Amino acid sequence: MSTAFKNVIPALLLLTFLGLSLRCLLATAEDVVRIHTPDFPEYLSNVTNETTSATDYSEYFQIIKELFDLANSNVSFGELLTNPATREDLNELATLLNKSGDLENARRIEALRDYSSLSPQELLQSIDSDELKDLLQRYLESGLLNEEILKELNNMFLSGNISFEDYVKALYFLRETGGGELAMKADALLMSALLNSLADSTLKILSSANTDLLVSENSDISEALKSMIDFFSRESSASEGLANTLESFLRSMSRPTPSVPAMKFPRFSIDLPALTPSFSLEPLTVFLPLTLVLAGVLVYLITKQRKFAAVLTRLPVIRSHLLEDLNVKSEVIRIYWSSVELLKKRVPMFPNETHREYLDKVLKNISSMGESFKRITEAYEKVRWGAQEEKLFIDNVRRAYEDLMRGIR
Amino acid sequence: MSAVIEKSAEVLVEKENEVRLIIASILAEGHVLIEGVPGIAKTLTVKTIARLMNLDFKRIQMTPDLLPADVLGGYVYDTKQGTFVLKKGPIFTNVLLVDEINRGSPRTQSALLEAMQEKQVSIEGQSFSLDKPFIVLATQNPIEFEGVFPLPEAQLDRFLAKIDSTYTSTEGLKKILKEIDLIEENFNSLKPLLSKEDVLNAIKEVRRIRVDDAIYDYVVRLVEESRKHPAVRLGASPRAGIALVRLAKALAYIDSRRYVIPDDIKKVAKPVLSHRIIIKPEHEISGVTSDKVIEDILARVEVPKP
Repeated sequence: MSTAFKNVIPALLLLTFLGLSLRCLLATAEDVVRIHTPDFPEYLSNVTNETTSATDYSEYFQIIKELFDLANSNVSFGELLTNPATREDLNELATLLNKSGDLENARRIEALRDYSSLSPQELLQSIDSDELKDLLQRYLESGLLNEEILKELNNMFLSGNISFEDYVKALYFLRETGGGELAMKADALLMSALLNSLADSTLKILSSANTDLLVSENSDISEALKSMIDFFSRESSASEGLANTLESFLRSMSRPTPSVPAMKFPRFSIDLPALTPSFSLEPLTVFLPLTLVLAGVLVYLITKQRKFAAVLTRLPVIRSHLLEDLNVKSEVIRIYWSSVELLKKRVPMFPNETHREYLDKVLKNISSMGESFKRITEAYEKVRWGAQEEKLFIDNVRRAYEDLMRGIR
Repeated sequence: MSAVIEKSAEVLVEKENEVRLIIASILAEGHVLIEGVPGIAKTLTVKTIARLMNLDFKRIQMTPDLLPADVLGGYVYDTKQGTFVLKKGPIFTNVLLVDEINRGSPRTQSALLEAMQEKQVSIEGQSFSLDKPFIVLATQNPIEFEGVFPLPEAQLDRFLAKIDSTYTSTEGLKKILKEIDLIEENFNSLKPLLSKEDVLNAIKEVRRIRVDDAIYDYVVRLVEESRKHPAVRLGASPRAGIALVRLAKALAYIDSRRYVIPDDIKKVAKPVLSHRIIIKPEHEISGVTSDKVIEDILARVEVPKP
């Protein structure tokens, strides 16, 4: 085979490979277009709730329904906690909320669950707020524990002066030490704290989740919402807003949703040529294995077949704009500067540096390729500055250049 | 030449670069100014090289009362013959070591430097050619200011190169202290490795060393840049350019090359240019030295490519 023919085959293979790679890219782009709703912003297609699945909702809302049903049947918070099944539900809820990323409500439920086991003394000692401690101590020492303290406690919590944990500890403390009506009211406040946290977490889930999915796959959700609405609508006037919000969620879930999203951004329309090519495109599944096979063949040719490698290794020589500018005839000198062009990315060459100074730098920084570059540099010096005949060195220089290219790859 | 450098290492500690430059100067037929404090083996270096190269060696200790005739020689009356006979001075040699050249009077310095340039001397109106090769290795102490006559710029330009001889490293000094007896023995037992003819042939070979046109361009750019430098009062002369090429050729020969590479020019830039470049006083006060200026010039001027 002539040299020209030998060079054409690998070049054609390379072109085929590049063409197929481009085709794969186009096919991917086309697929993206197909799955999209027309005019809908593409980035929204990637928005999915990764942490909460339909199954999670189902379990969550079942527990919510149970808890609110208990609350609606006037079960006290103390009774709720003493029930092992309910405690298990709270554990499960905390786990689910942790998984869904609602860490705040998970922490609140854990606090409500865990502090019940502490003694009044432990509760008092573990309160972080000195102001709250003083308040409780004062009431305790005066023996005048009454509902006023609950008002003060609520004010402190609502104004953000104390944490939720301190609030719960104080309520537990009052429930244990207050007795009578105060204990009952503290218990009711603990129940409210729990149910408010659950309502908050539910609203978060409903706001972020795909309501279509919720309604179609979980009737438990609407049942849970109904139970929550019942509770909050009769709880107090302050809870009415919450009940209304939940009700609007329930209504939107029962109404059929439009298949095409109403959200449509106004935009300037320019008639650009379609991305999809006019000819029919085979599926990606056909091209991907073919591309992989061709890539394998290409890698084999590059690594094993020296002649093919030589074709590729000469490409940078042809490409080098430096050499076009210099108009150098000697191949040894061309190869030297091509090598420098390649190595410059790793070891920069400054204009005031000589070839020997640069060689020292290369040997110091990339010793693996140093030997090949040294051979090229030595030949370059003799040809360039010593005006020696390049035919004495050219074979050695070509081999060294091939080695260098292999090293770089 | 590499054998001379290797052998000299038996006597001289950490002096390889100086030896290389001195040998290169001999091959380039140029004179060398060695600047350094006393006691750093300047004389020993020169003696060792002269002995290894089988060259005639003489030494002059310059003093203010030394007359030109003490250097060049003169006619003295021979009572036996009843006529005036020529008594040649120490300048009639191959390697002349002029110790503390800046202690000599300007008149004597001038006579010496003229002989260095012309390679011949005139005594009583009669011209005498100096032997070949002829090289003057002059030393001067850089820290002396009293009782000295600093060489004028024009005369400094006559020296092909200036070598800054420095102290040895700590390890080098320790080696000298431990092996001084052996060093002295080695020096006394030194045998010539070359003949005078070998040296003369080498000088001829050096002249034939190839210098690419791009190297000449590089030297021209360096010389011109030295004149444009903002800190320089007096830049390099054309003689400096010639010296750069000659010394670079000699270095290439010592390295067993038949051609000069840009590295050779860079290596000889400081020895050739440092005593020729005069810094402006305002920059000199702020610490700018000719060596720093040369480094700056070498960093600015692009090395010939491709």
